[in-house]
Amino acid sequence: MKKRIFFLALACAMLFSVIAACGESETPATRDFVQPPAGNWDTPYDTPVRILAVAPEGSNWYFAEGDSVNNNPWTRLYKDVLNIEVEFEWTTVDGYAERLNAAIVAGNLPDVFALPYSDVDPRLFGELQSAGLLLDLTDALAQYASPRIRNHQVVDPLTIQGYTVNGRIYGIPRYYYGQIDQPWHMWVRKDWYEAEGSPEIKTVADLENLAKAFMANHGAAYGIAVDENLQWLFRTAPMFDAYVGNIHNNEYFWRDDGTGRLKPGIAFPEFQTALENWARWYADGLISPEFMLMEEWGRGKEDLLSGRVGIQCWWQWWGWYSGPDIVAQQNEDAYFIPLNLPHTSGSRPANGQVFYPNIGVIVASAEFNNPAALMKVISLLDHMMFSPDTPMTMDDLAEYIEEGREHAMTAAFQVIDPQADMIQYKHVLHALETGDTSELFTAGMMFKYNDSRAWIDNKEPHGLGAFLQMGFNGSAYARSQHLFDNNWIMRTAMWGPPPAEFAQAGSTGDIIMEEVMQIIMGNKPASDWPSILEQWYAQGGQIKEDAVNQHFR
Amino acid sequence: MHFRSRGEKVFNVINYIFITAVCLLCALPIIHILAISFSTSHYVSANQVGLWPMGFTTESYEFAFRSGRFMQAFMVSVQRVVLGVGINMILMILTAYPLAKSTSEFSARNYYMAFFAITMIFGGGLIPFYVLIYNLNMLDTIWSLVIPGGLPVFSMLILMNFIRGLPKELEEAAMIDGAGYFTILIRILLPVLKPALATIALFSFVNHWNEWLLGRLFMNSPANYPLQTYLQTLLSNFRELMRQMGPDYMQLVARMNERSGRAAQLFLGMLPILVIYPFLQKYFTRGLVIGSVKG
Amino acid sequence: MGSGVDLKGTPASPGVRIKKERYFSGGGRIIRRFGREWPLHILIVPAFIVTAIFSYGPMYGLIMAFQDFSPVRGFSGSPWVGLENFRWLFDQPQFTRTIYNTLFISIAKIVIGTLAAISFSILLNEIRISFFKRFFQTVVYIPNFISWIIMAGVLSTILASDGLVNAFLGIFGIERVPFLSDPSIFPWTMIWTDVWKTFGFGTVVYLATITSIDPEIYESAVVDGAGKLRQIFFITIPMMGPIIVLMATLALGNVLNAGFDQIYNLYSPVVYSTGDVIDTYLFRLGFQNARFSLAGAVGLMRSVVSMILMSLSLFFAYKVANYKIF
Repeated sequence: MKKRIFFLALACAMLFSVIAACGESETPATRDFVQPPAGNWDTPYDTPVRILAVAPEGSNWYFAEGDSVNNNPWTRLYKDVLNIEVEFEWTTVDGYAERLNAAIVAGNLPDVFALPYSDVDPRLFGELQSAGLLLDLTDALAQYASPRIRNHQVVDPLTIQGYTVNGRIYGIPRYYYGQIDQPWHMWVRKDWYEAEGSPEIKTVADLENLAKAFMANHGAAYGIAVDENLQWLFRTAPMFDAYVGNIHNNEYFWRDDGTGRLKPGIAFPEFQTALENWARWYADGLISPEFMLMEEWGRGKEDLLSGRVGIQCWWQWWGWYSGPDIVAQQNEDAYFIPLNLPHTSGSRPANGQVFYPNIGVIVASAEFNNPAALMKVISLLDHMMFSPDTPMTMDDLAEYIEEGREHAMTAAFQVIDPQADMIQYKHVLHALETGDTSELFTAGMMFKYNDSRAWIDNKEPHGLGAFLQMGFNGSAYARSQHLFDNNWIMRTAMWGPPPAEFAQAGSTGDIIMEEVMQIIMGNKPASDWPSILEQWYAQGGQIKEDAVNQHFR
Repeated sequence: MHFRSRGEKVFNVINYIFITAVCLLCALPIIHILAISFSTSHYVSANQVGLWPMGFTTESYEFAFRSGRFMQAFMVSVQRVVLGVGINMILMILTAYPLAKSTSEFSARNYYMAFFAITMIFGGGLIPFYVLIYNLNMLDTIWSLVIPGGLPVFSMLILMNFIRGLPKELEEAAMIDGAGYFTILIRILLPVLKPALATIALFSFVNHWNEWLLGRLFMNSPANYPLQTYLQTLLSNFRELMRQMGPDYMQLVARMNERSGRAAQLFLGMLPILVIYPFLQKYFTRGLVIGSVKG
Repeated sequence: MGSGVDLKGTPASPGVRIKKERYFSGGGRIIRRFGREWPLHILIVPAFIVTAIFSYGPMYGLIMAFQDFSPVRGFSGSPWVGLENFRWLFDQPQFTRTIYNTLFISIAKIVIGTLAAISFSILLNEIRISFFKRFFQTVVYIPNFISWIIMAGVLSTILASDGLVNAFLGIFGIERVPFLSDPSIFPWTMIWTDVWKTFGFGTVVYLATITSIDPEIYESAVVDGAGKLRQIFFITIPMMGPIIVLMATLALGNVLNAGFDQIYNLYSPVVYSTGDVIDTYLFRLGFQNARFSLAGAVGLMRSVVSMILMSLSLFFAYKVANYKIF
């Protein structure tokens, strides 16, 4: 009996090994140089070229029946238009940095890969470059990239400087959708707000009164949503002329203190004013006593959806974050609408905060011989996504964008037009107001227009995302545009990734998070702030400040 | 056993009550999670779900089964468990037996013991591990998941202590009959070790079934992900995924949210364990039968 | 290869052996013993090879603790910095606090968890009806399968100020307990929820041990008039001794690991003072800048401490109770 089981197991093991062996059929990457064709960026290669890439997303993509990461509308497009075969060696949703680092140590660099700003050590680019592992892309960029891609350097000359060494370019910045998507707004629950007579929120007191009215008349358990990372709270700071971002992400919001020295937002006296006000909010019950347990995607969000709170300071894409959920769970008018942050002065809105808008960089291995092919893929992708010359039809939209297939290429090859959302906003709003859709030239525009229409005409909740972002006059982008038009904007001076020296500074953020929470909860007075700040400087803050002044002044 | 005093009866009653209470304490959260997995998102985010599903829906489960990748990942996991537990059991049995000998019977025993024990404490980290797997050309193969952890030292030690606890006569009788070590191990020891083997087999099964990190690190193609890695992927980027569902998004979020999705994931991942557990358990409670040896 | 039937290792020529022993007494013994013991070596070989390759192979990674490691420079190219990583860590004011917290939380988990599993398995063994015995055993083992990510979600709801537990306590007029946001309560919340989640694992092992105790021992004790309690204290627990010591020793190997997944998913800056442990601290340090060498240094430190503690416990188990568990 035992023997039988034993041999059965053995047989299974052998069977599986045979199966596994059959599955292994890997063609090696060919890295031979192929002469790029003369002509424009969209001229196809005569002989096929292969690019082996990796991507920080993709393992959770959905594909049409029979398609995969390496065979989908986008990879077929590269092949058909440019005669370039793009293959992803591996893709992973999370743990990208971990795997990339391991691959680097193993000496197994892919031809092309991205260094996302959010989860890869910002020092990695410099280290790879100085070790001679990165390919010089300067000439390829100049010769084979589309004029649109090359123009990004003109629009935003600062960002590419971060990837230029001795005048040579080693990485193509991916940028982001533009500064218009950066300012945060006060999102208030529409049905409650209207029931209160849609009062104008011009001062901090107006906001507090609205919060109290929501609690008194609409059953909110507390007034203003605050999350465990304090981000939602910190982003209300511009109301008090203070500026700070996500401390865990090193977003201290550096700016000139008037003497020519760059200082973090927490070192300005206005920050102490903000602290005093926040502590007052907590004491008045406007902040949940359990704010430290509110996760952005967990309890914090659930409290919004279940009507425990009706005011939240948040990004412009709130409509995707909670829109459909809240409409499904509460009522058709329960979604939140954006208002400009009030300002203590009462005479104008608070400034919009703008951080460094770049999500990462595309680089190539020094052993990769076809940078021209990379430029062509980048250009084609940009052309499809953002160019006014793309003959994109609604069918194309379904083909390339829907069901997540848009992502089949973003990771390693997508450069985002740094003006994309400003242009998109204007065109979409224009089309919605006039009914003239002829100027919707990108897939994104069509997508946002259709979604906005879906909400306006049929109250289809999936349309809330686009509608609240840009689909009407009170939309988030309309509010942001208002700030930009009046130059009520504050930009961080740290216009680039955190300097390498930051690594030496220890966990300075802990002090801030811990002490700010103590002050908010009333366990310490806000007047302690200067001494806490001293502590912060002593434990590494000084290193950070010096580094920022050295690199960004 | 033959007679029971009053005190024992009282003890028994209290014991049952106490154990039932502890079990309730253990079971309630599970039932709660199960209820969440079958509940509509509205009730989940309003924290209205207790021990019974509110607005019953199976959306969270259907979500996991979308695109047919669930079965693919499930099969990878089955393959992994068959191979992994097989390898684990063989290596553990073969290793625990010699190590259960005293130094007078097996002089090198302490050296081997130290050799294995050190690996419980010291490890080189993931990067050198990846480099090794890469250099052995094992990336993207099932072997990278089952061979490296071939000998779970922790479980092997448990088994070794069980073997040591066995009466010496058991082996001596066989020795006198001229049986070799291997014969003794297979014929004499294995049958009486059933409770211990069932225990370590369970641990090995659970470990292989639940492990997801290596799948993510070593597998190139998502098609080779074991189930837990796939489920991890599925929800690690939940909102992104929901957004990708396009027009279906709305219908979906009305019925499930991240919490109910994770709850469903938990049960799908746990199901095979719940199926196999009672099967192994019949050995747990079956005691050692010494009589057969002595007779 | 032979069938292994011939174990007695019949010496081919006793004379030669004696001679050898005279000159190379040590070596001779080894050779003679090997002649008898080789089947045991053969049995170990497969595990030895696997362990040598896959556990010892990557172990050069430990040197990272003494380097300023970066993936680009690799293990051979990264500069040596001696003990600088350790010095830097201990210079951080928050670090010493995390060591204390880690020790407190993990030792309490080990002690309470071990006691809970032992007593529960003994009680469970008293259940005569085998269906219930199996059923209960299954139920207490189930929480092991729930990952802390999910469990944390459930716990933060249940333990919230308006959650189930506080509602239940309210029935008895007990004031709301801030389980997760009061620094003096937080560690105990971690300890008890962990014990609750994991004691089923120990129960499985201990129950298997109790089952394997020779029933004759109990029978003769009953004949001698020993009651239940006496049987438990003088037979069951002593017979479980080695396994208990083994399990506790193995747990000690993890003493500098207070449970990252659990704490990370439940803590907040408000309870850093008592709840921040080494791993959560390191995680925050590495959030922006990957600190490979610091993680390596902490890992090495953890290993060394584990080794010392485990050696001590082995030594005392042997000296005091004459248990040899490794």
